[in-house]
Amino acid sequence: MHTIATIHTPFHIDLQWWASHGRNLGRFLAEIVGAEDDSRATNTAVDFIHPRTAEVRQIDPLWARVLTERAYQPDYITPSTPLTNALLRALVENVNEPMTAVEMHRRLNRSNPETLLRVLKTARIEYGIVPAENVARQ
Amino acid sequence: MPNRIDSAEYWIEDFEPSGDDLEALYAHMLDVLQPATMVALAATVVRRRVAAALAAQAVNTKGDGAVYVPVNRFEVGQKLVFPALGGLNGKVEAVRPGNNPGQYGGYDVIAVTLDGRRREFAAGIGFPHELAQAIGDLDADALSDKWSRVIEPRLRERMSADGEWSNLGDRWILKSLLPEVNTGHRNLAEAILMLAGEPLPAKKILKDLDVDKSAAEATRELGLDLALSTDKRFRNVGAIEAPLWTLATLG
Repeated sequence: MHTIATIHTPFHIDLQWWASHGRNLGRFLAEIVGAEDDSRATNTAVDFIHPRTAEVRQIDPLWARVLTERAYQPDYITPSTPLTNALLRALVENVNEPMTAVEMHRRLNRSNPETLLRVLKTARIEYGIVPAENVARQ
Repeated sequence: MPNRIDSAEYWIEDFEPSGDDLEALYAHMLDVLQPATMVALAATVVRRRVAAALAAQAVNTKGDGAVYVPVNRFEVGQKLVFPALGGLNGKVEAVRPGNNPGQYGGYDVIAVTLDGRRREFAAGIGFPHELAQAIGDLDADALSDKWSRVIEPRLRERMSADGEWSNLGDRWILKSLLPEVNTGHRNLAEAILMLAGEPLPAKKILKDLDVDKSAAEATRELGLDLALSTDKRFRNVGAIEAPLWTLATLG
């Protein structure tokens, strides 16, 4: 059942969507870190230590590389990053913890929450970004 | 060992403006409602970081457990408080070795249930981390005096890339605080300068303009200076920090 998304509706990356559409998130992550391949053959999850809270999440090794080498830096998301790509990068940086359009706007410093919501609604087609309908906010 | 917040290395080598720093600056500007210099904003950032460190230290005295600082190691059963998570507290339920030594070196991972959810945190880390300070007595004023100018360039770079800020020279303000200066205002300013026959500062021009008087005077002046600086009819013949406006057609 679909709910009406608002600027306060949290969105996340539907990883099942990537698998079911034959898309490879690893390739996207590899492009971010400049790796030649997505290295997903070594699929054992590794620790990622959050730079602000020191909370540990176990994630894909390539995802961990993105977070430790590229995310949280000024050039990770720039004004010239295409908007849908920037939204995906923001969710990757947030370790796929759901984010609302308001939170996206705060992170991206671009456009406004209403416009970002419109883009988020269409981002399923390109990147499998969908409302996290069953995810409770913490 | 990570660098302490009162060390030169912390401010010179490690410091990068964080999202929390910018949040603190937004709050500061919404409090003062008028332009600030970059060194004053940098001082706010230093004070915020010192306050956060001191708050963590204060929590430690409440008896809810030891403050979670990731540079320390912990034992199963030990009570911990997490200042970075709003003061949540819980007991260490398990300890395991970290599995990413290539990235982080040697460290442990502790498991703690917070608000009903089991979560993991790093312990015994040996690299710089925002929470990894061994806090002693900190003097916010002294640290601010000492390091504000050092971090000023990095803060300026970050804020220049942040679309929420405007500046003219070293006067910085949130765009949302600027009063509206519309075409009518600028047309009137043009007439005022024509009649004056001499360059005028924004302060004098504003006397005859109906620009939002609820805004602070310095904010109104910066708003007008910014508006005139982007209008080709006007030319600044003063300093960028203290503009004097004349008409471009007056040569």
